[in-house]
Amino acid sequence: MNSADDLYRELRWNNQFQVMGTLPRNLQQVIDERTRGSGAGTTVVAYDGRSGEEGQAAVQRYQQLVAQKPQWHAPWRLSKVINGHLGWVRCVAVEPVDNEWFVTGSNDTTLKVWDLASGKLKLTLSGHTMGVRDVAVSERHPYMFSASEDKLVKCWDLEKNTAIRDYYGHLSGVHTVDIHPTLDLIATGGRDAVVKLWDIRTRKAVKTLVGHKAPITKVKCTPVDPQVVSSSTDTTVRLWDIVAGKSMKVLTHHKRAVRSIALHPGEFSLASACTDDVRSWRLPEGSLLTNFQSQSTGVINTLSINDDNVMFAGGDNGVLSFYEYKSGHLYQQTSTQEVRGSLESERGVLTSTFDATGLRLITGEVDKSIKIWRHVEDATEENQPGLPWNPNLSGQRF
Amino acid sequence: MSFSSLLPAPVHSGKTGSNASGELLVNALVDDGDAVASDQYSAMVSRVTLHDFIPLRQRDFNMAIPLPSESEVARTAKKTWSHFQSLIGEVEQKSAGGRTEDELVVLPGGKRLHIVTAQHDPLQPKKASRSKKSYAPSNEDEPIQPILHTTSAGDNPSPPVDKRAWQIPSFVSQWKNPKGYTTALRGAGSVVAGNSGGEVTDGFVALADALEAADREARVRLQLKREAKVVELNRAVREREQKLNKIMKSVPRRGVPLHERDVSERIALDTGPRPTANRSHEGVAYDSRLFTKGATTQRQTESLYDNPLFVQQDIDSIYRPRKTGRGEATEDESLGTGPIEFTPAEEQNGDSER
Repeated sequence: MNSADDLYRELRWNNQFQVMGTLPRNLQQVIDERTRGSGAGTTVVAYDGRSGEEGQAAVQRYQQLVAQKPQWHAPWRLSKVINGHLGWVRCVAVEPVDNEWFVTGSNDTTLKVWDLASGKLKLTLSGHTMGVRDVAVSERHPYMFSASEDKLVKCWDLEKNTAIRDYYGHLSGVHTVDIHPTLDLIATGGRDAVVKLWDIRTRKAVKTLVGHKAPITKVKCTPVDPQVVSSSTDTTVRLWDIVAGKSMKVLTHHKRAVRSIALHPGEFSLASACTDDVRSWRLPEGSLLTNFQSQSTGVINTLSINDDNVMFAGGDNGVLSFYEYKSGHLYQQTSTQEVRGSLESERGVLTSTFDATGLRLITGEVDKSIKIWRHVEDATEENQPGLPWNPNLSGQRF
Repeated sequence: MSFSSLLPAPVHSGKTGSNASGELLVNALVDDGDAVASDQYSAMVSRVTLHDFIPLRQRDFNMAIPLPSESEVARTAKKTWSHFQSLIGEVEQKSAGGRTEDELVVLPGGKRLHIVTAQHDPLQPKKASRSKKSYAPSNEDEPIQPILHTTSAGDNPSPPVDKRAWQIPSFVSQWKNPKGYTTALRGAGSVVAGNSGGEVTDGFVALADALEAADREARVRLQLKREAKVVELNRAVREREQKLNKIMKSVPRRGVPLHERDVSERIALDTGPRPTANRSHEGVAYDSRLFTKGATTQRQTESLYDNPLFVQQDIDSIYRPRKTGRGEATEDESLGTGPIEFTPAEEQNGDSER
């Protein structure tokens, strides 16, 4: 038992103070006094009175955590700013098939289609009467779906460039829409706290999933159970069994409203974010995978994950945080670049997405601009090491 | 410090996540007296383990979590598709009025009744009102979910200063306040009030003294000014009198004793026409004061109506023609006090000619 304690102390000590070399004089004095007073060796970092098996398990886990090193990623920089919207840019989606264009929806009620390479405006779609909150482009149909605060979900035909269907039935504004990857279904959620599943062709609301107690912020569809995952401002994430119409699992770890969830494109896992807390979950069963180093991130509006295991979190105060997805290591944190003429209060990332290659990050912001971010060129692990890897037992976070 | 962190804890959040002995507790809607709730609570506790809180990837970052296989996806898609197909069929049938095929009914009298589905224009807008509210069914049969996060404010304590900053005072009208609410003093007043029970500082005393001295000085200066003005006025009056006296002394005396009679200036100076004993209309000279007196009289507004208008007259006779008065008609005796009698026109003319 004592050896375990000592090992833990040593690890903590190395982790905290090794990098400092010499301590400031006042701190050194305090330490000297303590060591003189207690007569013990280097009992500087107090070990909280954990004992028995649990303590040992914690030490083991800490060892395991420290022994690993997160993957290095190149840092990101701003590459392009696109202006054109007259309101907050609330949603963005990249065309998944050819990766040639992306679409943004805004509080000015319009959807705008932009060329991804040049950043030129290709098309403006109007039809909604209130702000557009979410947009999804289908991989299997020439369709695009947009959810709006005017209680409608619209289906846009990308060959005719018009709205061809309205999905009416939500009792209040619709906040989010997603397309089922294998079936002709779309899932929507909104302020009325229900997830509705619509048949694309017949425009019928075939299923209503009841369970959330507060407005729904994000809905995602997966090909196997849980086929629908939703997050809500009631601080929960629900994994739904859509055939039974019930939630398979409710994730109640978050303390505040869950504003965003994101699916990993390369593995079957999910990340969810609330204020100061980002976590990822293994999917069919919804067990906790990673606690991200997000204790002081602030309000997080949006999450995006790319194939390269980079997770982006966009903050409500304009802070962009980049995490290594598997370890939860925060490797870069920058502030968004202000657009000239915008107010200080207009820093805020509302939405984000990676393009199909994962090399470009598109963000929609409060200052009405769309920003495209790319990797810093010729960055290597040596010249751009990023923020240091200083793990603590953030797993103890309840 | 965000505003939301000052909000009360979520509903159903109970107390804390762990007790003093470090034993894991699950907080939820638990009432000690409620047998059903405590049953649910114990069931819930049995479902929660420490492993719910330990991230799986801590052990191995490269833990593989493969995407679902093709066959699994296909199986799920098939199952879900058939389920939703039946649902869509139901929905469509419902929207078509529950009858899809024509029906032939033979009535008891041998009459054949052919029931045909009404033609429906697919492009026609819905006749059913869209504003009709339909509420989602409740999910009360769902078991209570354990809440796996702390809700204690201990990990994010907010300083009391910030709480005060967020306090918004209730509105008190300045016009209507029947219940007599009071508002706290704000700004400079509150600073003085908050100064440990009205303690007066040296600076405040100095300021008050300076203000008082300045006020007194200003009063004295005004008083002097007023006195100088009065002196000057008196001097001017005296000079004028002396001048007049000088002029009067230079005027030769007539037999009239001026000091007993009030004589106009013109006469005294012997510049105006002299009144003669045999007055004629041309030669009448009036004392100018007769004309100027009325014009120069200051009408006191407060004394305008301080006595009744008809105080000297008999109230009864105000609206009666007076016998002795202004017009000629009133002098006619025939009018008298009796009723008015009209006379023929010829007579009247004659009268007027007379």
